[in-house]
Amino acid sequence: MANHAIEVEDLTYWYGDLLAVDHISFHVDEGEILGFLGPNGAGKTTTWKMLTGQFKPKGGKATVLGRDIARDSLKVKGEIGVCFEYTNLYEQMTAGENLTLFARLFGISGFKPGPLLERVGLSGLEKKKVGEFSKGMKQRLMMARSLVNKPRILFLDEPTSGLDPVSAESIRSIVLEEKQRGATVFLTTHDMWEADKLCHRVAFINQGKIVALDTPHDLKQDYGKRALKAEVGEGESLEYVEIPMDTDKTPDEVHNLFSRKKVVTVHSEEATLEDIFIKITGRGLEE
Amino acid sequence: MNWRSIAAIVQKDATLFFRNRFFAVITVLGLVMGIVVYFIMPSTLEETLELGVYSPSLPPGFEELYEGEIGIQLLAAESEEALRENILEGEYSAGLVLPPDLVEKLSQGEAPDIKVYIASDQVGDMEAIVGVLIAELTQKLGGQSIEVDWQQEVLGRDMAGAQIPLRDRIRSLLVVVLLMAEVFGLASLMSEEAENRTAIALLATPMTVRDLFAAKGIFGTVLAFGQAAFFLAVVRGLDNQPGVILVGLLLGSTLAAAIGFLAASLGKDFLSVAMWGALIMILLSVPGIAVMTPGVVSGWIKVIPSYYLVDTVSQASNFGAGWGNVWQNLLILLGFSAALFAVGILAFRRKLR
Amino acid sequence: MNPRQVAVLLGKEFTLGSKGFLFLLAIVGPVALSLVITLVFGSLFAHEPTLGFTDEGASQLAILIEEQTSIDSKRYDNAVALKRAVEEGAVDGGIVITGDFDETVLQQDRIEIPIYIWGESLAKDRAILTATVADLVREVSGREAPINVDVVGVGDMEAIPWSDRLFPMIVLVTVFIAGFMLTGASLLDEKEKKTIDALMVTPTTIGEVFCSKGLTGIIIAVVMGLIILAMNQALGSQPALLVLLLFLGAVMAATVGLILASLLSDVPAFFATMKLTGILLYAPAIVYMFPGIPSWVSRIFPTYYIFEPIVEISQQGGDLSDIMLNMIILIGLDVLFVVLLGVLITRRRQYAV
Repeated sequence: MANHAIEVEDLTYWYGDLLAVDHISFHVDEGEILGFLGPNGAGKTTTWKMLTGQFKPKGGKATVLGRDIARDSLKVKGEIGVCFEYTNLYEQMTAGENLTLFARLFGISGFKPGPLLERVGLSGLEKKKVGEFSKGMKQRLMMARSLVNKPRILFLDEPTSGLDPVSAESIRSIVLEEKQRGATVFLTTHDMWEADKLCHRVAFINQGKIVALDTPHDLKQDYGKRALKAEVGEGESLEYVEIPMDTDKTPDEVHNLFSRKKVVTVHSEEATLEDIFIKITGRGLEE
Repeated sequence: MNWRSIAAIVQKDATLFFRNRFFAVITVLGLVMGIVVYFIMPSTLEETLELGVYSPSLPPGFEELYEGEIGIQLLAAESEEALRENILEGEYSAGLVLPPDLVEKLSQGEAPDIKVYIASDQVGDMEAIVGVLIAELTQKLGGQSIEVDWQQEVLGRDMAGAQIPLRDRIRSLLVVVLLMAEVFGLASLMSEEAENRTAIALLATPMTVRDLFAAKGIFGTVLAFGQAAFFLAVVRGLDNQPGVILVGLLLGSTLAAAIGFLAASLGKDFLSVAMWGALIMILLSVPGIAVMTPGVVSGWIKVIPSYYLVDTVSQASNFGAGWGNVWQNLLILLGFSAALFAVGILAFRRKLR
Repeated sequence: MNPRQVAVLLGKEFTLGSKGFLFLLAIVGPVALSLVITLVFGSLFAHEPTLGFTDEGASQLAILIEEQTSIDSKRYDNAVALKRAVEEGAVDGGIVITGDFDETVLQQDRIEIPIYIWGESLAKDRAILTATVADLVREVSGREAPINVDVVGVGDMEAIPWSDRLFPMIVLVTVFIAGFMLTGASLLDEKEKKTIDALMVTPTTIGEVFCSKGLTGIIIAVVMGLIILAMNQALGSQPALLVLLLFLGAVMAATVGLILASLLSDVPAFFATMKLTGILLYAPAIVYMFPGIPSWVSRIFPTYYIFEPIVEISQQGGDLSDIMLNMIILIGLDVLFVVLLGVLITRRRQYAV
């Protein structure tokens, strides 16, 4: 059995009267990528902040790398890397200066920012002020900053939010590289496609509770249904038809489709994570 | 120009400004403090040096020696003790005790003994002054050894006996400070719009850049003008030539708004805008200081735009100067405002892009 | 508290901060304000009658005028410059000493002296000027009447020159621009830009962040305080003690700045609150300027215990024993504010950043 990099038991947090994280429990194995999905206000970021030591849990316990985050947050922070959703770089400093500062805060001596900048696609920009970077460049630099201390766990909060496809793909590649290196990744995201592609398991969180936690494949098996989707008709009057694939009536319906209508396109489709989320919670990921 | 859009923005800015409790409180507090500073300053200016005099036998005609003059006044005290008391209470600047044989000794060329009482914390300032006044007195009493005939030519308006009290001199400085504080507020409001990109959102509506700047300019001008006019009304600065002063204030307010645009375009965030605003405010306050301390800061202050506002307010409220006296100031002020508005708008427009 | 982390953050403060406007203001501000305060208040309240003159013939009168202590004097190159100076109010009056003045005075019993008088000069200043010059003319003529003047100080008030009265204000402004404003605004800037969140996910505590910011302000406040003391020739004979006092004062300023910054959410609110609290910070220095106000009033304000020991050491030649009580109170206040800051950080830890 893999060791647990993160172990959460009955974790709770509230803001005034609002219970933001409602007694959640889960674990993340070492080397695993866990996706944390949920709509805005579900409790993702609050959970994320507790696990990264920014918030102290008000109930329950969170153990990160074998240490209680509430008691040993400094030691834990030395071994984790955090990439925020919003940009919080020192814009008056250069890219190299930003990385060097954080390297020093992690106690790394003799740090050279060049290789890390190259890794995130910012080679040659060491001496450029961050204020002159584009959004994609800043996000890559944020990613680089989270890797300065070769973290055992990487906490990423919506890392590809608002990025162009090239920058987003670059970030995903780095996540996979880190996984190859043996790092554990805790990823919050809206992007179910990204979660599907990257994560070993995903957790759905809604109104402070974890409503589902499993591999994407198993979630689809358990909650999703496959369907055949076809476009039928002629010219401008096209009709869309959906036929569930795993029922007794499926063969007859498929036969009727092809014999009675002019089929323009047909393809099979399995349920998306968003479909599953809606099914489980009654609301969409973007709500 | 789309006046409906402009009115909407002016209303929005006014709402945001006063919804921000801090800015609202500070605006009111700034006004209140300016008024308090005015009223705690002395309302009169003491032009007469009052010397108490005691002698067992005062020379004849002694008290009339300075009759008709307002610079020096001799006041007879009943006793030496009363003289000392009055000095302690601040009634006299100094007290002289004259010997009964003063005139006799002077006529014989002998040195009379004169005791001088001065408040202990003023000895350093007053000793030499009282010394020369005593020399003058004794010359008048004992006959002039050499008579000095002063051919006085008063340059400028002769204000002897009708001096402007310090608090009325400081009025124009306080007005400028109030107006220039609005530079700070306006610049930060505009900088916020640029930083938050809400200005871009506004320009995606049927609102043009001209409309936006007009709205900002109007809001800034009205806010600054309102405060300055209220302040002057309370401190009785509008008693003389109110029309002249109000026009001056209006032009000064547009100057403040124009400089607000400039400061907003120079800074990258609130901090840098605030610093630019503070620097500009200090510079623009210099003419106000010069009005209070003539001769300390000389002709070069006329390159500072606020000089023409300060001079207008000071001349009109303190000396009753009319349109004929200050029209050039107003014209120059208008020119500066227009030029700075143009520069400020151009610079801020570049920043929005 | 890890000193290594504090050192790293301190390095960041100076590297990053030196590019910012706040730093510039913390360094330039006290110097500029020192000059402005001295200029405005010094000129206003320390006014002596001023005589301008030109000397066309190396007259003894010119030398005597310059040595005279009852008036201030300024020499001008020519009559045109002199007249302009009088018109502008740079001097209260002006005389042209002709080439043959000394000869004329020696030979004649009556002498005409044209004098330009500035219209806004006070009547008493005019009287003092003419009396002084007349007395000096008599001295040049060798025909002064002898008088024995015995000056007696009345009361026990102490004379404090205006330059000294302004000194506490200058010291407080210096310490608080760096210690309070720079520290607080810097922290708030990080909060607004959320760079503090980034620091909080490294092995850095919030206490270390606050400590580095406080130290930055304290270092700059102490350095600028020493520069200002040197500029005002007030380093005295115990500079080490002054450094200690400046340090203790800067600690108070920095902790108050950090307390305010941790309670507020943005820089504009900080600046607005700073304006509000300004009167509380500088009240004792204002009281000190006006000896008529009872001194116990200023003891209510914490900042009194910053400037009073400094004034005692630098201007009144005091030593440690003279300031011991006030210094102990200052240390006590520092401890109190630091504890308060600590409680605030601990209680608001989840929200302070």
